[in-house]
Amino acid sequence: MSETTMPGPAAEPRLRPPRHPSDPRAVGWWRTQALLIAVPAAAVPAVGGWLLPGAWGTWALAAAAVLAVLGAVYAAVMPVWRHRVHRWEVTDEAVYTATGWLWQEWRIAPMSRVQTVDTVRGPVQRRFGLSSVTVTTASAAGAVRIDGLDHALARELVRRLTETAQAAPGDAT
Amino acid sequence: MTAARPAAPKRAETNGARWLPLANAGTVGVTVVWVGGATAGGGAGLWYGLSFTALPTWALAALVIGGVVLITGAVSGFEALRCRATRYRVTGERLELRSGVLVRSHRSIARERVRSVDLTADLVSRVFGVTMVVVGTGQQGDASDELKLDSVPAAEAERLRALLLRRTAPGDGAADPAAPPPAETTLLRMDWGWLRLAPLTAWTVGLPAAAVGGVFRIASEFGGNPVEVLMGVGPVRAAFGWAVGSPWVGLPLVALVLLALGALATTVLAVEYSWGYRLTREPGGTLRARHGLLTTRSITLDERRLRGVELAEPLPLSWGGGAQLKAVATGLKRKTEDGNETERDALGPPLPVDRAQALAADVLELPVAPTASVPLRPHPRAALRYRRIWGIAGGILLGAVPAGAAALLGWVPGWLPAALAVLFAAAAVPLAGRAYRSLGHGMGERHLMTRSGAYTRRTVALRRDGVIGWTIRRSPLQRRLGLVTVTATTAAGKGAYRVRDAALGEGLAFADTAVPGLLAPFLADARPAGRAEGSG
Repeated sequence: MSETTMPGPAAEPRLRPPRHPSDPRAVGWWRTQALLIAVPAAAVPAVGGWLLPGAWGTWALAAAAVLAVLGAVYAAVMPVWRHRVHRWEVTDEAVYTATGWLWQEWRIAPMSRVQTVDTVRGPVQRRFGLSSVTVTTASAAGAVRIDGLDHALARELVRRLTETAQAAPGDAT
Repeated sequence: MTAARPAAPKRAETNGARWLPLANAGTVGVTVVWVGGATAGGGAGLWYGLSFTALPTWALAALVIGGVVLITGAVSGFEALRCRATRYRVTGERLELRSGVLVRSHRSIARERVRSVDLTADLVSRVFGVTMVVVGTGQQGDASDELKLDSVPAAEAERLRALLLRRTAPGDGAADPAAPPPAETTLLRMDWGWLRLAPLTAWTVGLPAAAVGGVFRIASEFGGNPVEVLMGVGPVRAAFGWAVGSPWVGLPLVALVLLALGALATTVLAVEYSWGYRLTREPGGTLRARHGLLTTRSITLDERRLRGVELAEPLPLSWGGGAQLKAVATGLKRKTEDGNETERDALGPPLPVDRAQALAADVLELPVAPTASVPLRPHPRAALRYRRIWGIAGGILLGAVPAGAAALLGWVPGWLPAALAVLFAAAAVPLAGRAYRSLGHGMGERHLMTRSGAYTRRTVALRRDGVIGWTIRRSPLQRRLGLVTVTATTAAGKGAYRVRDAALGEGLAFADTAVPGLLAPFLADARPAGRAEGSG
C-alpha cells in the first residue's frame, strides 16, 4: 500500500487460502441460522405494530419493515460470502483455517500444541448432514474451529487429528 | 490466642501421614472480629435509624445487641465447625485436604504439580497469628485447581511453603528440614522515592469522586434533597457560599483540595501495599514477592512458567516517567475463588521506567531487557487514520447518544448532546495519536515484541517458543487500508498478544520469523496488488 513508510521487499509474504473449501451444504445451514434470527427480529415488532394503536403502531411497523429488509439482505449475502471465505486444511504440522465474511480470520495451530479435538453437531447442522470440529490448544484464545464439514469427513478428520496430535512430542504448552 | 492444637509438628513429613488441623482458635477469632465488627457497624446504623421511632431504649438495645451477638455467634459457630472438620497432610507425593461439615470432600494434588504457594494475612489474622495458604498447580487459571488452607499458624504457613516448593528429587519427602535455607538473591527492594509515582493513577480522581458520591448518598438517606441536607451543615454552607461568591478562585481551589485528598489516599494505599516490598529469586527456581504493611502478602511465581514480561504505562503514570512491570506466565489466575481481581502478575510497585527495565532484565536473566533493547518498527500511517476514524465515531456516539436521550426527555438543554459530541470527538484525536505512537513490533533473539494502547501503553516481550498458534484478522476497513492484526496465542497471561494494524506483509513476515516453519507452508508470494485473501 502507498502509506507504507518503508520500501517493502520485492515479494511480500501473503497468506494463501487453505486447500479445502467448506461443504456447499453449509450455505443452507448458515442461511437457516440467519433466518432463525432475522424472522423473529422482524416478526415481533410487526405483531406489535398490528396490536398497538395509533402512532406507536406505525413506528413499530416501520421498524419491522427496516428489520425485515436488513434480515433479508443478511440472509441472502452472508451465507454465500461465508462459503467463499471458509476453508480449511490439515497437514502433519498444523491446522489452518479461514473463517468469517466481513471480518475475516485465519488461524494456525501447530499439531504439537493441540490438546483436545471435539466434534459438535447442532440440531440445525444435523439436518444438513454437517459437523463442526473444534481443535483447542493450551491458550484460552487459541481454539481453531472448522465449520460445515460433512459428517463422515469430520469423523475421519477427528481420528486423524487425534492420531497426529498424540504422535507430536511436547506437553502442549 | 494460640491455636488449640499440639505444638508445631516436628518433621511431620518424615512419618508422612500425619493429618494436621487448621489453627482453629485463631481462625475462629478472626471471624469473630470481622463479623462482629461488621454487624456492630450495621447495628449502630440501625440504632440511630430506630431512635426516631417510639421504641423504648431498652428494647432498642436488646434488639441491636441481641442481633449482633446472634449473627456473630452463628457465623463464628459455623466457622468453628468448618475448621474442626478440616484436616490436611503432606505425604511424600501428595498434598491432601479433607473438609466439609455436611458434605465431606477429599481433595489432593500431586506435590510435583505444585507451582505456587501464596500466603496472605490481614491485620486481624496477624494479631491472631494465622495465615491463609493458597496452593496452586498453575494449570489453567480457574479456582478448581487450587487448594486453600484457611488458616494455619504463621510459622506452619512458612514451613508448608518451603516444603511444597522445594525442588528436590520427586518423592523425596525426607530432605532435612533443619538444613539452613539456601541463599536467595534480591532483585528488588522498596525505595521510598518511588512513592512519588503512587498518586499518578486514575484513582487520584476516582476516589474523591466516589467519596463525594458517597456523601451525597448518605445525605439523601436523611430524606429530601441531598443538596439541601448538606447546606444545612454550617461549615459546608459557608464554604459553598464562599466558593460560589468568587468562582474563579473558589472552584479551582475545591478541585485542588479534592485532588490533594485523592493523592493522599492513593499514597496511603501505596504505602500499605508496598511496605517492605522485596522481590527475590529463590534457589528452587521461583520468584517470590513479599509486601504489605497491614495485610502481608507473599506470592510465588515458578520461573518455568514464565513466558515473558509486560511493561504497562498508563497515561498518568507515564507523565511521571513510571511503569508497572508484570509477568507473562502460565497459570497466573486473574481471579481468586472469591472472584476478586488480584495482582498476582505484578512484579514490583510502579517504578521509574529505567528501574523497571533493569528489573525486567534481572527477571529474564538477560543483560538487557528486550523491552529496552529491541528496536520497534512503527506501523503504517493508515493505522493512525484507522484510530482517528474509530475514535471520532466512538466519541460522537458516546457524547451524543446518552445526552441526546436525556435531551429528548427534557432533562438537559438541547445544545448539550452536540457540545458533548464535539468535545469527545476532539478528545479522541490526541488519544488516537498516542495510540498510534504506541504501535510497534519487533523481533528479539528469544522474544517477540509488541506494543500498543491508547490509555495504557503495553509493551510485551513474549518468548518465541511460548507461541502456540497464530490468528490473523482483518476487518473490512483494515482490508481497504492494507492493514492486518496478527495475534500470537500462548498459554500464558492473557492467552493472546496482538500486533495491531501492521502492514499486511510486515505482519505476516513478523509471524513467520517469530516461529520459523509454522506459517511458511501457508504463505505465497504476493501478486502485485496485495489485497484481501480468501474472498476470491
